[in-house]
Amino acid sequence: MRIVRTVARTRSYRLADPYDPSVSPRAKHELAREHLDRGLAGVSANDATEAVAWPFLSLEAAIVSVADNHGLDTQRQHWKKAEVAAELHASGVLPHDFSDILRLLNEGRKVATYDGDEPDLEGKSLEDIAADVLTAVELAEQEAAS
Amino acid sequence: MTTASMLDHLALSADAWERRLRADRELIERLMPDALRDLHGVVVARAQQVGARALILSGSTARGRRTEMSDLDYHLVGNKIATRDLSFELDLHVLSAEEIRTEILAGDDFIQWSLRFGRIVFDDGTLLEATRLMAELRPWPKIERKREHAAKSLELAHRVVESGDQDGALVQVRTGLSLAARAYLLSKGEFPMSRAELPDQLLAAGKTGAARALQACIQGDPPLDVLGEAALEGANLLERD
Repeated sequence: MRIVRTVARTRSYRLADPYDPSVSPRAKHELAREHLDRGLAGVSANDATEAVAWPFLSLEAAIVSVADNHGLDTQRQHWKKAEVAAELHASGVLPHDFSDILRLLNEGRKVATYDGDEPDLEGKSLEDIAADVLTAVELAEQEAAS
Repeated sequence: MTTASMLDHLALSADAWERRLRADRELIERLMPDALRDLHGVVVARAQQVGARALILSGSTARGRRTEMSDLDYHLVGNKIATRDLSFELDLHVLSAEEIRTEILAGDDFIQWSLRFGRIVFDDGTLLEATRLMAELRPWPKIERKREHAAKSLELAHRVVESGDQDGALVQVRTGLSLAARAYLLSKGEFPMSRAELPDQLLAAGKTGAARALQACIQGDPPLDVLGEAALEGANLLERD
């Protein structure tokens, strides 16, 4: 946290430049890929918090990326993103319904973060979940490239 | 009435407990948003179908302080119920009667929160027994445990901010800052309320910066640099006096 403190204390009010991430948000499919890579590192390190939190963020970013391409609104609430994931599947845009994995990851994220406990992944392994998220990330990348 | 004397009152008098159950049922009726009434009805029906021992409405809905970010939280004592076909807003925490006791003794603040401030939908006596245990032992949630979780969560939040993902950073900073606020308030002998009430509690404790930062994370859509500062406010809350 020392790094954050130093950065924040030296912050000055200024006009943002065009490449400031606060005015030029990163592409969601790119974030999805990077978050997944961080999650895979957490899986390798057997760190439950990292292995659940980053794939959760990755899957959310992938779904938002696809939804944006199709003009669907994804509001800030996480359950809206899950609803949109189900909607994208029902309308044939996504071949898989990722809403259940998103729900599982969100519940796991809360358990790991709030309670420090091992998340209940309903019999799924972290590797299986990461593979599902990878599928979503690849679909988002394909959509973004098309 | 203080929370301590409230516990004594509820635990020692069967009449007081019955009055609480009646009052809670009326409050649930009043506080439940129209859009969530059907969901609530299904949860109650399924809990009763599986023979659950108790059900508590928890979190911001129980306090009448819902925000656009709020889930619909419950503690269910008994067997799990099917939820996959239900709204993603539902956040159900399932535990056994024995686990309530274990978690109270282990210093878990969530079940203590629900017993103190939640609204009881139904109870076969399990919650009364747990409340009596709390009145007898006066367990205070484990502050160090909360601090550790908050520190880890804020460190993760810092990395999400650095990744450039504003949506993700908002989720993670809000989580880490809320945890830090809870740890801080507990360390000052103040029981943290629902998330939407934490900024007021921080303000009352003189933590203006953290209060504003958390308020922004709950109700606003802060940019990344502000989220970075909010994470810093969380870290400041964890510094020892």
